[in-house]
Amino acid sequence: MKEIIVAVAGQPNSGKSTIFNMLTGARQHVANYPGVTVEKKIGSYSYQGDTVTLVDLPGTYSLTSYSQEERVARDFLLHEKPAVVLDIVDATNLERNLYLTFQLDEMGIPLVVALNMMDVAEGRGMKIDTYKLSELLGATVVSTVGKKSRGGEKLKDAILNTYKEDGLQTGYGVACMGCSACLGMSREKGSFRVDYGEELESILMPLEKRLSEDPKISARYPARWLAVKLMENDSEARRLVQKVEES
Amino acid sequence: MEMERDILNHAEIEREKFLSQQGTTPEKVIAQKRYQTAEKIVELTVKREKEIYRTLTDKIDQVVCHRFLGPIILLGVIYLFYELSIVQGYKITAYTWPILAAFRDFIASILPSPGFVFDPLLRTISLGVVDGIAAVLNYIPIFIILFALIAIMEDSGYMARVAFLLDRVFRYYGLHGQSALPMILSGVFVGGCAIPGVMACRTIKDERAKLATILICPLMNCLAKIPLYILLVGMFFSAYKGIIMFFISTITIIIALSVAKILSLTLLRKTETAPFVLEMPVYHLPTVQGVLRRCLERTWLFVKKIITIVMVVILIVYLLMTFPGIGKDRKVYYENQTNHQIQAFFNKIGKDNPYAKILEGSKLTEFAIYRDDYKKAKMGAKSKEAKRSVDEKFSERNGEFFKIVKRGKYKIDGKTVKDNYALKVNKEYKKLNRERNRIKRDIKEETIIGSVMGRVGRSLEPVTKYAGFNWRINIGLISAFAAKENSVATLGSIYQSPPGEEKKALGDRMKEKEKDWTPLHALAIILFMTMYPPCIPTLLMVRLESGSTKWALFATFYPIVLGSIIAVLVFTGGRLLGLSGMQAMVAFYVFALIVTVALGLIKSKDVSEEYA
Repeated sequence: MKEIIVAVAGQPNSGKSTIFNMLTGARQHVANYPGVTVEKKIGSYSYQGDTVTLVDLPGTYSLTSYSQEERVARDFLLHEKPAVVLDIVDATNLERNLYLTFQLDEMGIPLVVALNMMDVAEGRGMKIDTYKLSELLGATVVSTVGKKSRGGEKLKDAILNTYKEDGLQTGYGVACMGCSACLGMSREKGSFRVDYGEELESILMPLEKRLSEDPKISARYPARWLAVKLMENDSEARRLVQKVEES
Repeated sequence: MEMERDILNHAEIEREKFLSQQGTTPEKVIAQKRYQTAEKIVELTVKREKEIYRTLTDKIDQVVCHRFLGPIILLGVIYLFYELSIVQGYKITAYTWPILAAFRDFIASILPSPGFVFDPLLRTISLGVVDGIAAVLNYIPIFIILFALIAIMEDSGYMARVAFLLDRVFRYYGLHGQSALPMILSGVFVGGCAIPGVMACRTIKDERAKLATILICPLMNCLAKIPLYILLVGMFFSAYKGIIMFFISTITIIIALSVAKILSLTLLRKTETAPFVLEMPVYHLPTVQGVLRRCLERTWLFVKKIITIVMVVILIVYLLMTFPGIGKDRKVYYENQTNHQIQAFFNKIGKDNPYAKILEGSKLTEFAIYRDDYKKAKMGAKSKEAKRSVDEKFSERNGEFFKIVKRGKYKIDGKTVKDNYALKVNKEYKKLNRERNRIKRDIKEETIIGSVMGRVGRSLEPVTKYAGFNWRINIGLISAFAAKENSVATLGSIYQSPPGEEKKALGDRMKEKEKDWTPLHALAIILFMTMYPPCIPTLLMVRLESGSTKWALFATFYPIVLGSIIAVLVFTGGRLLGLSGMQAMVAFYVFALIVTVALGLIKSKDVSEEYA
């Protein structure tokens, strides 16, 4: 019996707590993140002989270090290194929600996307091609309706599969459908990246390389994420590098 | 290791280069590219079969966020919130209180029994702590309603609209639109409670606004501040009740806004603020399960954390107000007084009274407890049925005592008899009991005056006289620290009516003793009370929500300083200018208003809009 830690992320109002409740039922408890007043909800379920522990991250729009919630979410992903991140996305507000998805992806933890509130989206005449979305993001996408408890089993399946595949380092590789535009994005699972444009990428790539070549840093933090954060002049990221130096 | 420093330097240089070459910051480009990528992905994956331009949410928002209708609806919602949680919640506590009272009685029954005038220390202290905890637990129905309502507001999406509507005013004072709810709960309109108020600060995402709100919540008018207002207003401003209550409730908001602004310009200057992301989520119908779960979770968290800490803190405050206690010779003095009264009682009922033997020695104390219990039980019994069962219970507990408390009228074999001996004992005991209570009150008063807190109150008199407070008021105000309800209760025991005299209302007794008092004195006390430091449960909540003891201590001391400054300003200033109470009130109001408006005009920096 293994314990698989899964962080549940999502923007406010994405229906994160309903998905959380759907997956764990009554098996959950509330604590506080150490040193801060942000609530930390932990729940668990068993699936195919494995125990999956879900940790609810605070609902945030982004992963900067502006607010306590964002810092808490970020620190958890950085330091606790969950096996999988479950990103709850509001299907009716896909564009804005992807903003967080990209940042989660940059943190280098295998991602499962729950496309929530699909019924509402459909009711508004939206049709979302989940297969295509999965292909573009290089992550498994599952449609769910948290309020009606739909998609729970599929989600559990996706989480376990993502965990196993990552653990075995097989590399998923969604087959190319020969679509017209690939946005220059790789379709290998887990290797999706936002293209920050030529000018910035010409700085980011070498910086990322330098970071990944430093054994101490690369053992602790995802190089791509750190490179982006350093360019954003994020004080926390600078501190992290300095701390590595001191150790 | 130089490597990491090199990397940081490298990143720094590259960033500078980018800034000068592109004329924009990398973070702006990064945000922009993320949005563009999101847009592209949506373009590729989402097909809109039919465009629905105006969703239900848009329609609701047209009304709810309307320039004029919006604030009106908000007022209605705020009123409903306040009515349901505070007003109706208090009504529910009328049903839950007996449970807590029963718990207290149970604890009382297992503790060493009380004495005739001196209660065992263990009993006094334990009951003090139990009373303190019960006072906090009593708020639970209010919390449950409150948390449920907050969960509904959050889940439905209305909370975001509230923030939107109020942000326009609040942002000038370093607060956030979401600061409104905590302030309302704490008692913007006279009568709230800062505990749920501080707790509701959780929803504020902006660190600085959150801390500022937590710190000003206790300045609002909680229910426990009201009795002292009523007492003093009744004494000195009875002709202007409406005006002064309006003054009290609005001056607190005015001062609170100023405090928030000053804090965010000074102490909280370096606290991080979140860029204000104004997002209007789509309205959802909250689920019963979701709301219930969240509300029970939060209530449980409260009970768990507060109860454990409250116990310790109340114990400490209680000890500070009790120790060192009255001296040995004073104790002997009170014992003699008591014995003298008891002797007088036995002399009056006469040696031939058969009940004299029954009440001899320690039996008298036993009877005193029996009678207190009986009175209490009778008070609790409303119906005839209940009264009869109380009688049955007590007649079983002690048949002879029962005859006395029944004033000599009881039944033997179904016949009602009139026992004149018992009646006589009953009458005389009543007098004795009055003396007993007086002595108990005297002991209590002397204990408070001689206690650590009482000494502080006396030693402060040379300073507090500039605010118009004498040592009696000092002690009253200090005793309010554990819970503000205490202020009037303590004043009540300080300004007792002399024994034997007719009982007068507290206000009249105070007026009699403080003949030189003017409305200016009362105004200074009222203003000090409005700025009174939070009660202990609130302080613990501040600690919990701000995450640091430092802020809890700050929340204790700044109101004392502020309240003292205001009280001195009004009292000494008013006296120097020869103002009447009402004139001083108006002058201070205008002054505070000007300061607040002026502060609102100062621009605070870094209202960043990077993500806008």
